[in-house]
Amino acid sequence: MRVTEKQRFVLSQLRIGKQRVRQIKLTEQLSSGIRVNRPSDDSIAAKKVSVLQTEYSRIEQYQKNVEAAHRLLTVADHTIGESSNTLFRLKEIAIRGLNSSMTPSDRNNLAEEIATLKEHMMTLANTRTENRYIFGGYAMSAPPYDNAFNFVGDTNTTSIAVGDSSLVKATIPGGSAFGDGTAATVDVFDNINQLETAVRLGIEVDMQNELERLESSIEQGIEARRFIGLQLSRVEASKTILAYKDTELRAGMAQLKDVDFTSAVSELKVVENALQATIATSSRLMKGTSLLDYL
Amino acid sequence: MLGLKNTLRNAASGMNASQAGLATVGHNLANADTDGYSRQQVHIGNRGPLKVFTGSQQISQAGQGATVQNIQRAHSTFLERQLLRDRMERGFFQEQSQGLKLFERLFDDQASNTIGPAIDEFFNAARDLSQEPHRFGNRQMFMLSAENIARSFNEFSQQAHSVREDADRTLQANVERINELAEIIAATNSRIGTIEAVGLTANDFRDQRDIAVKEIAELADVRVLIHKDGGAQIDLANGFSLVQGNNRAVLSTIPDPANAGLLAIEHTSLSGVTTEITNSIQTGEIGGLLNLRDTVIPTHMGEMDQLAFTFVAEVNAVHQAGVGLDGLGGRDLFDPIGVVAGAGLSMSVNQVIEADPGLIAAAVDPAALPGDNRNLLALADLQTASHAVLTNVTFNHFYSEVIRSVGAGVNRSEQLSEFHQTRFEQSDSLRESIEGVSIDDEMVDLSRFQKHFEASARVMDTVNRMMDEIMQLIR
Repeated sequence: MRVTEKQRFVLSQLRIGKQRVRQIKLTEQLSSGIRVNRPSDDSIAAKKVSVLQTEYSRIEQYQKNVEAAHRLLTVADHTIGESSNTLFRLKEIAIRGLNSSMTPSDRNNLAEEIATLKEHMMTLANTRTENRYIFGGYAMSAPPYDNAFNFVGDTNTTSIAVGDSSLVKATIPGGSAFGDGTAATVDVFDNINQLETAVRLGIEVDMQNELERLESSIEQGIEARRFIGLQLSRVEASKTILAYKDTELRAGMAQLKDVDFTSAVSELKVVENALQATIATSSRLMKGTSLLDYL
Repeated sequence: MLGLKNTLRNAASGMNASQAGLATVGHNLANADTDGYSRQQVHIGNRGPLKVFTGSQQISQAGQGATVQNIQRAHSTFLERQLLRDRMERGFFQEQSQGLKLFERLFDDQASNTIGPAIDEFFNAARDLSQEPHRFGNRQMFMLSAENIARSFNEFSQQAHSVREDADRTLQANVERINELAEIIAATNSRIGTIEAVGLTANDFRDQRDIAVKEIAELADVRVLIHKDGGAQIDLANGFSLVQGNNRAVLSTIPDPANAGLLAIEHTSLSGVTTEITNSIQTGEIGGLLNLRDTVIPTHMGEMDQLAFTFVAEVNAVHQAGVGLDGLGGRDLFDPIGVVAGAGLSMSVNQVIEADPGLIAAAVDPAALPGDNRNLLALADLQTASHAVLTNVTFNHFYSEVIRSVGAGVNRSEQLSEFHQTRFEQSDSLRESIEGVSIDDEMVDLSRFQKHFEASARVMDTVNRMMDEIMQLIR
């Protein structure tokens, strides 16, 4: 076989070119830290990364949802806790009102205090956070209790997704905590109203009755907080699961997508050595002695 | 009697022959790097004997020296044919892989407008809104994410189409180039005819014609037939004649309304008959471009259209079932799309809802406004649902599969392109080994012809001196 000059030069050119392409690819991977820069770099990994990416972004959203549910439930918990304190305070006042040494003016003062606490309870029941009345059910943009202390919200609870097909109830309807006028609940405001009247008028039987009803009101609050606590524990559980999945997905994507620096660097080293050898042999090939040197 | 004059003529013929040899060496060396140049060789022959009468009346024959019989180019018809085929295949995959690489960029998940992340974002916006469905700001965010999906699909379709249009522009240039090359071949055909009619070999014109044929082979399927008179007949795919003797057919491009106004290729034969030959061209750069433009990209666009169509239909179905803040339901979130083809391009959000995000159907129960978020929860569940028309997988899974198949397509195309490049190089190296100029060989020839010339000159010198001797005898 004859070997012409053109063959020698073209071959050298091609060989060096091929090594350079590999070198550039590896350098791109090393400098970006990413192995799959485009689908064709590894089409199967690209698909898996895309699937995991979707799951990952959903997990991130669920984590936000968990935070939101956590905020709402915590606010409701604190509010009902505060309302329980108020109810205990009312209980003390009722017991004091039952004392026979009370003068009408003393009872009047007590009644005034009850009225103030009633306003406080009203504020609690109409608690507004993040632009929503948390005890209004779905009717969340208006105060759930009107000026006459009547419940005008509904009995729904807002469900928030904290995982695939996993919902938590992030709100509790006002009725379950403060009563909504139905027989199923204790109407806390009616309770306080009646107590106020009984204390003001000094009617012992009524005071006794309302004191007993206060116990039910307090019981109702405890029940509501138990429900909230249950939801909160579910939220916490979801949080742990999501954090675990988050780490796992991140690791999975990194494994698919990221450069294994050790192997990439050593591969680059191999390519560079090969390139050097190619350049060395090519330069000999191109400089190679020819008859021209002797004639 | 053999005269000195005859010897002088012989020496002159040797000098002539070696000069022709030297000229050819020079020609070869000058063209050592010329593309498509075939090394030429001088064939020196015996000029034939002359009858001479010696003193004893016997007839014998004396040589008359050398002559240049012909100058031929080293040529391997077999290899050249192989190279034509290799060129066609290489051209096909080169164009296909280049175009696919452009197309692949539309799936770059680092880009902000890709469809996969847009779908994720949409469902997350629904979940975000489900926390506080009464909030106007959240409703606006949800609407923005819906618009973002529509825009991503629109942009994808537009950009995919512009890759097809880019292919079209190259296609047009290539078709024009074929016409130019056909012109060159027709012209060289006529020159070769004139030269070879008198028994010579038109080496350089044949080289020129070969170069033009090779270039056509890079562009399209081509068959070459060399006639006895030296003329080349060039046929395009499916036997459409391109060049016959001095005549050539004309290729032209014309927008095809049946193919989104992209160009069709027409062939106007020598006798003036026009035929559309777009689908006949299967290889070469034009074949690669057509395959990319009419098969590969439309396949993926069809998949994305199917995704857009299904997405709109499913989201609308859920959205219709819910009610807006006005308590009314039955509204579409996206403008309904009638047919799958072109769904991505025509995707748009319902302007009525866009103008008033309060109409987003977050609620199921018109009596439970504004906090009812159950329809949003149902909407968000669509993300993890499988859809029968999307090969029974989720939206994002389907999209990921398109990414995989595009990536695999680019890979395959690149590998084949490289494979055919290597094959071409191997064939070309073989061809070069036969037809190329080796400087070493030429240097050997150079010395050989120089020595040859020197020897003939020495003969002439000797004859000259002998003649002088005779002249001195006369004086």
